[in-house]
Formats: sequence, C-alpha cells, structure tokens
Amino acid sequence: MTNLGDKIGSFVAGSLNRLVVRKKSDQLFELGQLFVAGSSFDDYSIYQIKDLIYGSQIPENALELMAGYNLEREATDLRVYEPELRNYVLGIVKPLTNIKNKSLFLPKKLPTFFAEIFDIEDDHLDFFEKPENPITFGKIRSGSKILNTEVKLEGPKVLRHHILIPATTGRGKSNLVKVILYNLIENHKCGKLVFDPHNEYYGTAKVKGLKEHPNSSKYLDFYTIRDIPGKLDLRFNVNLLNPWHIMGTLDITTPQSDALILYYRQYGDEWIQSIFNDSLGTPEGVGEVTQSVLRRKLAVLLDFGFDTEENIIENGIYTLDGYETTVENIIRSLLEGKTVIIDTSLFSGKEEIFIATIITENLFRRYKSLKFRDELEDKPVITIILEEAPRVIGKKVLEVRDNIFGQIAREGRKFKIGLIGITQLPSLIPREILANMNTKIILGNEMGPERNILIESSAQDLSDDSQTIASLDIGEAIITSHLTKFAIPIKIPLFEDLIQGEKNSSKIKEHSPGF
Amino acid sequence: MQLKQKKSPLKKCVEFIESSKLKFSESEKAYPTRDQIKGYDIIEESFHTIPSLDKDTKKIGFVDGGSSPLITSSDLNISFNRVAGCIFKGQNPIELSNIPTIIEYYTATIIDVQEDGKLKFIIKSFPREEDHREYIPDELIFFINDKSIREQFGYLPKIEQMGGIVMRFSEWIYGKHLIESELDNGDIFIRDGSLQTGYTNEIKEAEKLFSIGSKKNIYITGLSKSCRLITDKGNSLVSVVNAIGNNKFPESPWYFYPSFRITRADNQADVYFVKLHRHATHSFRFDIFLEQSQALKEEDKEIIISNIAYNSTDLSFPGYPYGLIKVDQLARISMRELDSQKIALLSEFDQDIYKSFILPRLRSMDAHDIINKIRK
Repeated sequence: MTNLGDKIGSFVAGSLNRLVVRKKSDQLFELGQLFVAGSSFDDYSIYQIKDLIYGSQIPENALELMAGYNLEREATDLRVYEPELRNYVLGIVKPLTNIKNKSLFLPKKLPTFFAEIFDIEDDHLDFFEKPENPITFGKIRSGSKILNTEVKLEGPKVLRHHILIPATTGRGKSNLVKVILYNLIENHKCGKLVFDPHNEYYGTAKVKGLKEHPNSSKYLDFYTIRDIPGKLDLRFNVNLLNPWHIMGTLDITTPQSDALILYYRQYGDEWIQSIFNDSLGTPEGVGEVTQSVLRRKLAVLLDFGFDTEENIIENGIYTLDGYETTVENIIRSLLEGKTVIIDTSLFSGKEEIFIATIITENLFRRYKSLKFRDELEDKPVITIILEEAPRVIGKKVLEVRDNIFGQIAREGRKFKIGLIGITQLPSLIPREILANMNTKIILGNEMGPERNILIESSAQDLSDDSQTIASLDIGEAIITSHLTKFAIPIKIPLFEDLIQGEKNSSKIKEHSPGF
Repeated sequence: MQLKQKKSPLKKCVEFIESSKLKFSESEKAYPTRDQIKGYDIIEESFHTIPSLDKDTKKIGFVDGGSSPLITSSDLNISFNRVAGCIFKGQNPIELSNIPTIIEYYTATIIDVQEDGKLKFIIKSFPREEDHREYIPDELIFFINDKSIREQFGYLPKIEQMGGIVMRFSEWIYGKHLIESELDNGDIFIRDGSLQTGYTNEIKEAEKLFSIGSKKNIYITGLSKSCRLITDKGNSLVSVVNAIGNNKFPESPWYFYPSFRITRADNQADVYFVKLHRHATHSFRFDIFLEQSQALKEEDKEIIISNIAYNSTDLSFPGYPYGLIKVDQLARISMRELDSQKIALLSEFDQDIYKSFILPRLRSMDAHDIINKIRK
C-alpha cells in the first residue's frame, strides 16, 4: 500500500459508521481529529474521531487495583510492563468522504482489517477547488491542529441560502462575522447589509473593525448617529414609512392597524404627518381615541416631541423634511456589492427592529421588482446580518405576525437575498426556517438542547458530534452545509491577526471543499 | 420466652470448616502423595529472603499453550491449539529471532480398531503454517485403555481432551527449540505449571528439553499457579508455607526450600515455594529440574529466583512473572475466535458428507448445548 503519510494507528473493529481505531503509542488522538486511510493518493478516505476511550488488555478490576498500588503504597517497584502494547487509546471514528481521483464520494466501504491510518496533511485536501467568488471562513482544523488549507465556499451561493451562526457567549461569533465581512469586502458579487446593535463591526478607536480594510473608503458605508469622520447620517424621512413597518414593530390592536392603513390610503406619503395634523380630522371610520393612541405610540417610536404650539420636534432619526434618499442610497450601495453597516447600538431593541424593517422591506421590494423585470440575474446577492436573530425570526415573533425577515428566510433565496442569523438560542427559531438556513457555522455550545436542535437541522449527519460541539474552543467551528460534501472542522483566524496580515499567505492553499 | 434460632445448613457447613481449619499446627511436614517423593519439615530455617537483583540479569524464556475443541462427538474430535513463547531480559522483552512467537495447529482425533480388536485414539496434527511442523508432534497414538490418559475412577478418556494432550507435547517440543535457539548459558526457562509429565511418551519430549537445557546450562523450571499439595496434618501446603513465610518476612519476598524432592521417572524436580514480591497476595510452587537444582550452590539458586522475582513486578499481578502473563495471553484461545474457527471448519466439509456422516455423530454430544440455549 502506498504510504499516505505518518502512521498514527490502525482500524481494529466497528461498523461503517462507527469504526474503532487503535492509537499508536507515540501518537496523539484528539476529539474531532481528521485522518486518512486508503490504498493510495488516488483512492483514500477521510475519517474523523468522534469519541475517545481507553482500551486495555488488562481487566478493569485489575486496572483499578493497579491504580491503587500507585496511589496507596509508598515507593514501589511495581510498574506496567509493555504499557504501549497493553494499555492504549481507542478512537471511535466516522468516515467523512471517499476521494477517488480527486472526486468526492460518500463512503460506502469498510477499510480493510488492521488498515493503517495516517495523519491528515494538506496534500490530502488537494481535491478542494477554488471558487470564483470565494467566501473565506478559516483554515481546516484537525482536532486542535490547524492545517494550511483554507476553507472557501462560493460566496453568492452560500449567502443566498442563508447562514446560521449559533454559539454561546464568548465563542467568537462577532470575530467570525468580522472575518467573513472582511474577506468579502471587495467581492462585488455580494452586497452586505449589517445591522450592528453593538457597534462592533465598523471599528472604534479601541476595537478594530472593517474600517481597517485598506479599501474600506471605497467599499464600506457606515450609517450612524454618532459624530465620526467618514460616517453617513442615519436619518430617514418619515415618507419612507408605511403602515406595515409600524405593525411589524409596535404592539397594536386590529382597529389601530386598520386606522394606519386608512391614513396611508387617504394621505399617501404624507400619512404620518396627517396623523399629527388636527386640522385634517380623521379618516372615515377612525375614532379620535384611536387617533390619539396612534399619535402617542408613533411619537414614542419616532422620537417626536411637541412644542407649546403642538408642532413636532424631531428628536431622533426620523424627519419630516430631507433624508428622502437614505434607504435608496443604502440599496444602491448594496447593488454595487458594498458593505453597509447600520449602527443601531444607540437605539432600543424595538427601534432597531423598526430601522431594520424599513431598510429590509424596501430592499426586498426592489429585488422582487428586479426579478419581475428579469433584471435580477446580474445583480449581487445581498446578505443581511442579523444579531440575536430570534428577535425577528423567532417562533414567538412569527406566530404573532409574519415579518419581512421571516419572509426572506423562507423565500429570500429566490430573490437573491439571504440572511446571516446569529444567535445563542437556535431553538427559538422555527424548524422550517432552521432547515432553510442551509449553511451553519457551529461554534462551541454547552447547552445540550441547543446542540440537539442544530444536529437535527444540519445538512450532514452530526449525530455523533454533540460532545465535539460542546468542546469547541474559541474560534473553532464546524461548517455544515448542503454545499459541502461533509461537515468541515475549521479554525477561524483572529480578526486582529487577519488585518495585521500575520497569515503567511504564501503558504496558504486556496481551496474550496464541496463543489 | 426466647425462640431458639434454627441453624441453616450453610452455617453448619461453615462451623464444621472453622472447627478444624482456623489454625495451623506447630510443626507440619510436606506430605508425599506418591512414592519417590520426599517431603521435608516446614521449619522457619527453610525460609529465606529473595535478594534483590542488582546484577547478573539473565534472559528468561517463557512457554505456555492453549487448546480448545471445535467439534466433538464420541468418536471424533477436531481441536484448535496454540503454543506461545516469549523472552525477557530482566523486565524488558526481547524479540524471538530464530523461532516463531506463536505456533497454531489443528488436531484431528479418531478412534480406530486394531487387528487384535484393541481400540486406539489416533491424533494427527496439522499446522496452520507448514514451517511450524517441527514444533508439533506429527501423530500420537494412545490405546483407549492407556492408564496415563484415563479419567478418574478408570473411566474412558474423553476424546476432546486429546487436543490438550498434544498441546502438552508441543509445549515441550517448542520449549526445546526455544532453549536451543534463543537462550544462552546461565539463562532460565520457565514453563507454566510443574515439570511433571504423565502421558505415555510425554517424558521423551520432556527429556529432550532437559537434555538440551543441561547441555547448554540453561535452568529448567516450572511455576504452578495452583497447588493441591497438602501437609502431613491435612492442611493446604501452600497456605501453611505462606503463613510462616509472611510471618517471618512480612516486608520482603521470600522462598521456602527444601519442601519436596521428586525423583520419579516422569518427574524429577526440586520443589520450592516462592513469594516473588512483597506486595504479592499469592505464593507459588516453583520447580527446578532436579539434576540442575542438586548441582546448584545456594547463591546460584537465589540468582535464578531473584531473576524471576525481578520479572514479577507487573502491576496487574504483583508477584507473578510477567512473562507468564504474556504467554498466557498469547496462547489463550478466546470464545470469539473459536466461533470463527468453527465456521471456517464447517465450511471445509463436503455438505453431503457432513449431513450424512458428521452431523449424526455430533448429535451424540450436542443435546446439552441445546438445553443451554433454550434455558433462560
């Protein structure tokens, strides 16, 4: 048999989906480690360690007694003879893929008895192709060992079919999104719309962000109410609003919803102003009490105040004059493949959703219209980054009233719009939407029920990976996607390292698995 | 009124044992179970500490065998057998360089009738590798009335035991090769068990081993895991020895000598009892080939025992030579591999012959298995 590399063990038992390998005594086995076995570089398979157990030729009670001698007796000359033969580590492993002449197949054959296994090397990953418009996630990881092969997927395809990034706090979600956006910033085939509730993506004096990209001035728009050089004003003319934006944000009764629609029908673009204008009266069928409640709720939402003469004072980002083109400008930038960051960190949750709804709904409407006119084909795919995604695509939210994000999650890919949903609690997202999120970048998660939800909705069989997911360290992840042939363990680079160019690009192989 | 509690039968059993077996007598003596065996007094002076080995590490060769029947009827048997050997120098294993570590072979036994009407077992051996033929007897014949193979009370021998008998022969033959090819002057050979031979012609193979051992000055020894010997007071010999040895040397390994001297034609041994490690829970009977033992000086005997004690520090069984643990493991035939061997064997039969001639014979023996299978 052709030697595939450094021998680290051999198969000893098991079934196709649960093979048992014995570790060579001087080697190391780790959870999630990848290795290869096969006859040659033209025909081999990649396997992954799913669990590790002790093996011994010595009965268990004798082992316990042996430990007792070491623990309870003073200096003793007793020892374990031939420990390398008698006590060992067994790995429970699963085949990931079979590679024949650089083509990938599902594994269907058992390796030969006692077949030797070899540590995985970059040469074994030569079958990966380089996508035309890559989205880079990180490098392939074998246990805790990082290979040089980068994991790149075809950006527009992946983004269009939605991405879910589930993880508990501190496992590197924000870092991952920054890395993805940084790597995509010049990719004009993808427009990136980021709603940033923590003001962490653009970058501040203390925290590095996308503005560090050498071409950020060309490819990055930053909308905020902060006074920062190079920023764009996050202000909207109220004419951009429609009743459904309000309904998607506020808890209002049916008569109040009906009233909003009646105002909208009667006054068109000026419908908000008309609610606050006493001289116009109320549309037919709308009571004064309803009008009064709507005024109060809208004033709070739009941050309107009133002077002594009951004139509107604009305290927030909504204005009665000017800023009619803010949303249009955002959409135009996205159509150019730019990254647009909306800094919502200074708003309440409801305000933030309101802003996101206004922009997203206009964007979706535009793309629908482009599709209707058969002009969508050459337009970039748009991805919308949503932090704490269950706030807009959670079961409870969608049960009360469907919204634009739920709609995009279900049918956005038809219109080249996808979501990147970030959450700690994927279980709050309806199964149908979870299943639609075709690529999942799973970071560490200690919560068993959350892991189970992810495993059940993954594109690949991750049924043996619960423990692996729990033990993923910061920056370690598993990518599962219908665009890859197997779930790929990756190491995400630290954003600060990425922008400092610490990666040794000359050594990195640019490959993409799966296509 | 207090009720008188009735004693259980088990309680009565225990009381009976306790009444006679709690204490050992002041002076006991090894009880010779057969003629030409001399038993010695069990006295404190015969107990000695085993000196620690700081030099003169010898090579020690170990041999053990395993045998298991594959199919058996009252008139035929096929067994699978294995003999294994290993060598240690002190605590370190040494690869065998001239002979194989493991010999595997099948034995087929039939009962044949001679012209004079006498019945005999004919046992033929078939090595799995032709190169291994020299380590096994080609053919053995035992008359059915041969006393050496008879069961207790004179019953006819069981045919399935023939595989095990051949294994005994092959242990001696393989051991002879091991001594001849792998051990040097002053080294030690240990077999699992005593140096006793018993089956007709077994002594011939044993003598070949003794002869080559004496010629090369390699010490021939045997260590027995179990010992049924008793004292003249009816106590377990090894228990009495253990109690006295541990009392005299509670913190060190020891040996007891002399205990028995056996000068029978089929067994020539000086018998020692040894506790090979201070943490050992067991002491063992240890035989040295009589001719060699008699010629040895005290310090030479101690060098042999010290070498074996030095190899008896494995944590899994302190006080038992690791080499014997290893050969036992190498030679053991597991139930799992037995199943696959049985399947392989049955597939070799011509199906018509099997159904017409073999299966009816196997049914003479397999009703017990059927009962076992249907029993919950």
